Amino acid sequence: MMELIIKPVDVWLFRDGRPFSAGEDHDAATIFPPTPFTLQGAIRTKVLVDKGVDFTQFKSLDLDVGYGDKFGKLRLIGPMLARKRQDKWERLIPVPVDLMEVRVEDDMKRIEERFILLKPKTDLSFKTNLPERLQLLWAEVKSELLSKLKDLNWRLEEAKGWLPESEWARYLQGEAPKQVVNNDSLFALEPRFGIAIDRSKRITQTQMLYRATFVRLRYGVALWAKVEGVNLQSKEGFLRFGGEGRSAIYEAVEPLPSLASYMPKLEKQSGVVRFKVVLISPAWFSGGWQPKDGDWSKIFGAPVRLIAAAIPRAQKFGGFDMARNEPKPIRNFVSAGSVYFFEANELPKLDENFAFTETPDEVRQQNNGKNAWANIGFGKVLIGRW
Amino acid sequence: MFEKAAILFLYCETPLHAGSGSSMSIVDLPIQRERITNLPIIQASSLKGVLRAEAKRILEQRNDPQANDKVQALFGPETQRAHEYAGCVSPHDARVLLFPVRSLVGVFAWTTCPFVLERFKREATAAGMQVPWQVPVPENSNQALVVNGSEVKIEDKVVLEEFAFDAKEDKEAKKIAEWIRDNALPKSEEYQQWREWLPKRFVILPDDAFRDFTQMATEVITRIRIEQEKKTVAEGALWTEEHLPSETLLYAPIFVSKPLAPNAKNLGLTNADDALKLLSKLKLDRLQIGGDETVGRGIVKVRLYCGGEK
Repeated sequence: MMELIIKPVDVWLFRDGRPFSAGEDHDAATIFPPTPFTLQGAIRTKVLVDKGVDFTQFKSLDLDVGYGDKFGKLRLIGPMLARKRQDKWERLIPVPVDLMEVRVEDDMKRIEERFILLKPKTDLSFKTNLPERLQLLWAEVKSELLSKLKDLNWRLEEAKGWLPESEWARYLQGEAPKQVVNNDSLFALEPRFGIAIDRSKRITQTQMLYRATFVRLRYGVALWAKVEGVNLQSKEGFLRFGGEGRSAIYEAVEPLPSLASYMPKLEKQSGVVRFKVVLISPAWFSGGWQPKDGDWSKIFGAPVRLIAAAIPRAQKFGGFDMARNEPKPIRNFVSAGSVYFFEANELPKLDENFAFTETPDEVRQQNNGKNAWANIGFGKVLIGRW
Repeated sequence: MFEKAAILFLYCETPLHAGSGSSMSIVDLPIQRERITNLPIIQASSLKGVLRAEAKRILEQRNDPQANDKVQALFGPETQRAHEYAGCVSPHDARVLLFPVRSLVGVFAWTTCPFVLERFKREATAAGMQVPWQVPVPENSNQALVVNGSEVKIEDKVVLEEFAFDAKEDKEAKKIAEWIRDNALPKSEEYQQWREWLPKRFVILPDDAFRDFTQMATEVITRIRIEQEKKTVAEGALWTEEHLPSETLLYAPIFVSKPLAPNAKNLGLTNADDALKLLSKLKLDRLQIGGDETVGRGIVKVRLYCGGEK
């Protein structure tokens, strides 16, 4: 088992699922943080290089790290954004979608306690067309906050940014966090223009102007990841990471607290247990945003009822299969930050290896029927009260 | 996966314009800069294109029958076939190490700052260079660190452009200046005098001051186009271009991985070492980087450090 901090040398590019071929497409956007696929590919390649594999001849299965859609013994968590505070690394997750922020028109009058959690509302005074038993998410602004806002021009918006590790426990207890870290203090997007030069004529080629948007991390910001099942040869080194052959420098670090250590003990109240599941990495489900036919017992191994969900637009990931030298199929994923609210008569068993994702059948078959995408870092969650 | 790293030092002999497109600011054609620090850079893609073309030119000049294949193994196939396999040489952005600023005495000073030096140290160490110096930090925003016997010092002050700093002699600054002289400046005969000058003109500024100079003290060149028949300026043909001044020293980390080209073995490129050897055997000397080649801009003298294994 190794925990890694992965730092950029300059900038990174993690392409989204859209095509980008020279002369055909002119704009490449980056997604950030990169998906577990990026990490899995980088770690696999590193392990194979350490073994001295010749890639020009490599077309077979490696027992440790697999090949193509077979992942071997690899178990990954991450990549997660992390920042250094007082010589300690602190992880950050995308702000959960059930977090709202009170925005005041006049920025000088920032309200201190301005975050509010959405909660399912059972006693609506009107009818909705939501499917059976699903409830609306509702933000309740407390009267003391309302009195502070009385003469101000304010509105309620989705909170944007990142939730630092120091706030996780509070948030999972069902309380609104005190602070959210904005994008700007962690990284900046750097659009770059490029052209192709016709070296024989020494002029620019026509139709070859393109723009690629890179991500540049601020000083003291990096990615964190946990690697199990396979060990890297050295405690530090280079990785080829993301697009354009950019690099990363990795170093092994002391383990950070486990995700489970932030989760409160859940108890029954009036005969039911209520809990919310917050995705901190993307997840894939056979029925889009939920398992096929809404059958959640597939995921929990016990009956649970979905009460409400806050899910932003799907993310599309493909990636590139270096082994077959072709793009991977693009699929829709539920993005990190999505929140699902559940209710159950008995609390299902939720241990360290709980996986809130499925794996497409064709990938599952190649991994002895295992939930392979969960093993490489999809569907990682924090679980809390609501 | 990268197994080797090298550092390419680039010394500007003429002003260099690595453009970032047009802008709405005072300068029509600004240079490329980092988004967060605003320090000047040369994007990796510009550098890679130049290295590729130069490698091809040199190998063809030597009548190497495999010139084209070797270049493709190093830098990847031509654009139309770019998806087939990746090149094994990945140049990264070139960054400023020393930036020349006008000085009241001694003509100009080579300036740098703790942030730039720390970052350079990190990358040079990663590339396997021995970096036996610590980065000293000026005590306040008015202090500049110089080497004992500095030629840009006048009565305990260093005056750059119109800003005066309190000069403080620093032993570590001397170590750094001598290290850069020995390891980064071009090695050839014609640079003898420059190597002697470097410690005497070396100044470590506070981070903010250095950043401001790299923003305010670049070379801005105004250009026009003349209409030949009338001998007057053509309508609308007046524009300004920003350049990195000559005497700027930049460095670019170059990462090398195992060659992925299917024919790599036949080319004698079985591992990252071979690729790095091929790169160093090119004996790169001068390159032209950025725009305005036809008016003599962007000529850099290079020095490649290869070695170090991670």
